[in-house]
Amino acid sequence: MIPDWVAALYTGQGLSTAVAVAIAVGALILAEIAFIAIKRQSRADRSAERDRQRAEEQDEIARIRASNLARILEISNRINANLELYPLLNQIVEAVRDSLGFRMVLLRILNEDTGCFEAKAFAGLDQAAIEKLSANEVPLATFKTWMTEEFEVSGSYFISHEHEFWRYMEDEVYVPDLGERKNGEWHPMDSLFVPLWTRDQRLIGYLSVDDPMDRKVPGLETIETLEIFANQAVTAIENARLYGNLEEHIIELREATKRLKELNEIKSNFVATVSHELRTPLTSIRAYAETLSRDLGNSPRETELEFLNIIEQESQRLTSIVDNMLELSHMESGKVKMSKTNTDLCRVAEHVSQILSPTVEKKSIELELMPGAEPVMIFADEGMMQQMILNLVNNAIKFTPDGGRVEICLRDGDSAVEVIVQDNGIGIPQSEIDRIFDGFYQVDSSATRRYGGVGLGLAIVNNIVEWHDGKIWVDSEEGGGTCFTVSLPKRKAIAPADDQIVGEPEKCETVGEVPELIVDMIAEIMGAKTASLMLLNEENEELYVGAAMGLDEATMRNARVKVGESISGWVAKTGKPLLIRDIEDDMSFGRPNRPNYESRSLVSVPLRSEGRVIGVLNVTNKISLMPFGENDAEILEILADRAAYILERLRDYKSVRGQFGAIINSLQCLIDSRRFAFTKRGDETARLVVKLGRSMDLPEEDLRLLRYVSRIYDVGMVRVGDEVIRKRGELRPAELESIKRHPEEGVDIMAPIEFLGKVKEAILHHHERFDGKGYPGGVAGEQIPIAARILAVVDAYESMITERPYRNAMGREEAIEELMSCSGTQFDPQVVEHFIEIIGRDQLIKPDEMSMAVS
Amino acid sequence: MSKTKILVVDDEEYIQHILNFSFCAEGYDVMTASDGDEAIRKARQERPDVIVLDIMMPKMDGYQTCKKLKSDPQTRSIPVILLTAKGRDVDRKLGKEAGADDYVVKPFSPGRLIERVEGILNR
Repeated sequence: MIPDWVAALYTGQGLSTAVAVAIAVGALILAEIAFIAIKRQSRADRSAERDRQRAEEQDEIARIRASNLARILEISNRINANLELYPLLNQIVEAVRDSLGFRMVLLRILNEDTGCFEAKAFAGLDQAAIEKLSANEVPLATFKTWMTEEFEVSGSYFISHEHEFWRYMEDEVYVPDLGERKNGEWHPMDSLFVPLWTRDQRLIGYLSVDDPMDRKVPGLETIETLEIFANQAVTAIENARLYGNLEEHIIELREATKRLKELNEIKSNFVATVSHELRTPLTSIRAYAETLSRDLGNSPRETELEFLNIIEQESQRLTSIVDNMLELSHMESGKVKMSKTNTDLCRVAEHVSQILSPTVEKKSIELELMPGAEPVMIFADEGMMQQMILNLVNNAIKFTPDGGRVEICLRDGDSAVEVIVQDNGIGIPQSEIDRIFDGFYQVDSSATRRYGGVGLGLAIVNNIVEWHDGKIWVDSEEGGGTCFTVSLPKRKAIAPADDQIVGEPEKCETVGEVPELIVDMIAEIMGAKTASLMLLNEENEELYVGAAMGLDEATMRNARVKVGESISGWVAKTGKPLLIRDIEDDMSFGRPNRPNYESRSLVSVPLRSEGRVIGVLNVTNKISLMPFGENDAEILEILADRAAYILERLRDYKSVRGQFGAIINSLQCLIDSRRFAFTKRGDETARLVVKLGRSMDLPEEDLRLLRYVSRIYDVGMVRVGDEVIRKRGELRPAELESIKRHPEEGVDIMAPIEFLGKVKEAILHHHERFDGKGYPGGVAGEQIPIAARILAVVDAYESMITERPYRNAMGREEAIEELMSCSGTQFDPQVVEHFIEIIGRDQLIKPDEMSMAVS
Repeated sequence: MSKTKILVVDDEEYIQHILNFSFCAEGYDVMTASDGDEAIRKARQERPDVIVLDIMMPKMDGYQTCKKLKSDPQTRSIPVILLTAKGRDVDRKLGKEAGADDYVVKPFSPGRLIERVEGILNR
């Protein structure tokens, strides 16, 4: 019999029965071991009449041993030659079958992410058995219950059918049909498995054998040989993993190097251009200043004044180049903090035309603003909007001859707002249009002189548009004027949390924006380029898009999917999550036939309410361009539960009416907390937290939650004022207090959308100290939830090694020392110990650190 | 004795202006051009005694302009001083290849440029 998955069905009763039976029959095993020993003993006892027979037997054994040894040697050689894991594992199980006389062999390997043993190599099993064994995974915890002393033989485990160990699990285990069996022969319910231990005592898998050809329960010698094969398998797996890791790192490094090369090229071009742009005004300044000082008093006063005037103008030009460059680099570094508010673009455009009116008058340009009577509202950063329109209009004025005309036109659409700036100036040649958004690019570099500016304006506009998830394009003809159009996606105005929607049912169309906020929140937390929420129409069995982020409107309107069809339909039908790392490699669903659907990597999970599937959540393509992995699928499932919870609450509309604002506010805070995160190491925190949890043997379910919590635990920081967070000097007591409130604020924010107490507790206590002197509860020691103790250590470490406005980043070693010195007071010593071990193993250089070192 | 004629070629208005001023003050007869084509045309027509030529110019850059001047029998003998914003060896080499007689690195001192021009003219 081949032990299979038993975990979920493992009732307490089954376990205690099994243990009782195990103890009762423990004697049997001892007897068996004694029997094996006696058999060996008797082999040594040579009686004369059996000498010949014995000699033959010995020969046979020697032959088998020699053949086994040859087999082992052969495998050793292959391990060295072949780093492809699965073919090699198959060779190993086949060798076990052929040389040790078991008709069936299975090898399972532990998947460290899921904590389950997965079937990876088979010998002598038919397709049906392989499918069944592959579908069922054995959790580590379950396997450990099999590895009891009672069943131990050498380093392996033999569970005799007489133990009736599998009695309650007959449906779940694979029992081969071995025909009639006599007493003392190998029984279909017998099982023998050999754990795969690495040299440093990590359990990475096991071999399981069945149906010995001689029908006998294997003796110690066979088991020992089996263990040698198992060791070979361990070596093979370890080598292949090392090689795999190495290859992964090589790919990462190669990509990083490529990126660096490209960056370097851009950078050197940039440096050349910048130096030219800076030298030009400097040349004027130097030449005029020198001439002025040499001839001082000899030239007419007007000339001297003119020279001074030029020097001043050129200094201003230098300043503006430097300012623009700083602004651009600030934006491109991603450190800008946007503060989005409901902004009236009409008002902004009016303000811009006021600012520019002196220039407009000087060039007698007709500047017309063409908004309707209604304000054009957009949820955006007002300062950035002003800069964007200012740069566009300034640009238009610059390239329009005196007496020309510039128009600003605002269009308020259903899903987007358009800002159009049109002039009848000199236009842009077709061949140059692609390059105008690059920094320092002006078609005719003398235009810089003729028209002023340094060619950074459009690059800045482009950045602002990107920051608002918008698009910009240009229509122009040489000599025929230029028209820039910016399209910014619209989001309905967001009601603040305490806005009194309560009691005003007519305002409740705001419900409509909750799904949008949900997809936004999901995209932010997942770091995905697009996210969509599809809802099931039970009447016609169709999924339609309830809300989407990053998809254009046409795709959204037309996307209807029958249950069972394409990816979302499949997920809705089976209720199973689906992870496609790279669609190129996974053609089972074919490529979506819409060309504007450029998914490469995606995760799709069902939305469930009371056990029924009510929709599907999809995310595609990470912003980091890395493929999605199992972890992402897991987090999306957790988020799907929250999304379903929120949607369910909205259904029962009347009972939540008073909490609309709160729900919206929660989602918005989550979005903001991710969008404006001060460090980009959020995912690194998540990785370390989960690794630490695993190292501390936390149950799988807790690890799952931890993975989610590690991305949201600091959400309360969005309620601490920006000026406090970025303050360089010492904080005033009131400011300190506001920071200390952030765990409680976090819980407050999450309350309307989070239903698990565990999650809220982890957020609440992540700043407690082990000695009880932390905040907010002053809870101490093991009374602090383990998740919070883990977060405290990783958060402190990540924060120390990251640069903050008020201090420089610390070195890793220094940070570790700091953790150690606070172990037992601030931090749980056990957590610190595990953490240091993990960090120690984590020493490979990450590509992002490399680029930091170079830039 | 007639005045020494100098042709100043630079697309930058202020630089043209200050060079005009400085050379006039030294008693030169100054002509200006804003790009390579204009420079070649004026060189042929006016036959200046010396040309000060900026390198970073739109359309035809200083090197190309210099090459053309040096391959035209009418203008070949006129000494050319390049104004370059770059001071690297490769630029000097390019200047030499283009047939330039000297170069001055931006930002430059007008006084020093005048010295260079005089040096060339006295050679």
